[in-house]
Amino acid sequence: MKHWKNGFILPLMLLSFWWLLTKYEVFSAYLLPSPQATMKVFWQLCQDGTLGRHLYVSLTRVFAGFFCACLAALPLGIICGRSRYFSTFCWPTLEFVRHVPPLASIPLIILWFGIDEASKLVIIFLASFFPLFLNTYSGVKNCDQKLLEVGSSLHFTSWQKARYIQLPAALPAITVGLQLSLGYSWRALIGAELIAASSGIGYMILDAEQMSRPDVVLVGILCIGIVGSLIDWLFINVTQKLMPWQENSRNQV
Amino acid sequence: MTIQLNALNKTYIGPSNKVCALFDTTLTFTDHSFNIVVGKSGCGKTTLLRLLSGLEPPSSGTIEFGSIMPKIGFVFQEPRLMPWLTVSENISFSSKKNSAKNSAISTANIATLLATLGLSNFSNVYPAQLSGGMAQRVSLGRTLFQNPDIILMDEPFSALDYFTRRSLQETLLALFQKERKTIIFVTHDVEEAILLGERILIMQNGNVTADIPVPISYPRDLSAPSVINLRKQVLTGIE
Repeated sequence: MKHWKNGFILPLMLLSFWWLLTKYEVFSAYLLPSPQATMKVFWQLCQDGTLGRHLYVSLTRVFAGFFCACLAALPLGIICGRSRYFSTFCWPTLEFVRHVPPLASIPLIILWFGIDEASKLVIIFLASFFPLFLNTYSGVKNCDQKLLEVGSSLHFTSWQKARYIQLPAALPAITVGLQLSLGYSWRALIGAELIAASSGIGYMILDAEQMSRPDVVLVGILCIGIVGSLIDWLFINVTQKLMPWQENSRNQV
Repeated sequence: MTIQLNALNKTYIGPSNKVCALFDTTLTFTDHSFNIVVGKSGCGKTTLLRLLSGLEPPSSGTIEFGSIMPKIGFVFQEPRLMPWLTVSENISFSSKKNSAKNSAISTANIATLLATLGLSNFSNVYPAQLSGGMAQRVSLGRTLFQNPDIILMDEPFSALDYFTRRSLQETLLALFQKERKTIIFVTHDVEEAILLGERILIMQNGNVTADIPVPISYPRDLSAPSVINLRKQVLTGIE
């Protein structure tokens, strides 16, 4: 964290570049609104509550989809990681689904789940399921055999080995999976809100596109990036608190 | 509790070959004895311990422990500590297998073990912060916490520096003299075998080729004539 200020240099450079482009009118203001104009719109959208409302709807969708993905991916990843039979049973099907982008399934998803919230949840679920499943699977499967042997030498049952050795050992991999999965849910939001949405950041961007409001589009994009980064930062901080041994491993006695 | 090994064999079957790690071994380990198994790498020492601990089944032959199955503790070559648990949690790790925990006894046992092993100031430290010697002390503590009848030790001090190794050997010897648990200690270090064992078994090519009793009292002086003679005897047996 010593060099945290470094992270602000590139955004400031990009912001200056953006400002210069608009100041010297390299592109028309219709194509690329200035940073000042974008900030002005951002402030307006904040004040009238539009941005907050859309953001709340989007966040609810993202977390609902992410939660459903967790409910499915975590147990499935653990079972597949522990059972060779079950993993070979599921693997071809999961591999097939993994290679189909959620956006390609939108027509079918609309047909099966309608145009309400369910279809949006399914898209977010499909986008966030695999990072979490694969990380949980590999974390459990690749548990250090030497640690499992300690469990055997202490006469642990298979369940006790899973509960007290495999799961805690897989926790760092599961955390990475959760982090990636959360990011993918957020990225899938626009795709989900393409489906007959009447609110949400994705809808706000699409609506602004149709109304020829690039400034609102930019506010939406910046909002997605900033909120996504904030969620990620929050997630990393919480998981560091939950896994103190990861942090302490750097400070040898 | 006497351990009786009857015509014990262990063969590992690879894709293209068979390796006989233990061949027709018949042995007896008496109760409360400090047994050292010494030999060159690949002679079957670790296999013997793994069969005794039940980590692997024998290809043929039997192991008899008497009428009651004893508690067996295993100290591995590497500490193999759980990185997510603190020192005291690692020591009491075996308590997780009992659904009815007696936390008061556990806490007292942990405190005693921490003091015995010189780890009192490190009870809340994670394994990644420990030195190799400290980690191996925790590993020994984890085994002792189970209060085993038999302790199997697989070259536990081989990766440590000379001074740490000497210090741990002294700790182990003090524990043995106090509690007189049956110890089967595998090493390839002849000096370690002479300093610790009441009985030295020499292994070669999957066989126990010599069984040498050590009637020398502790602590042993490596420059004493009886110890020098014993050293010659062991070295001759190995070579």
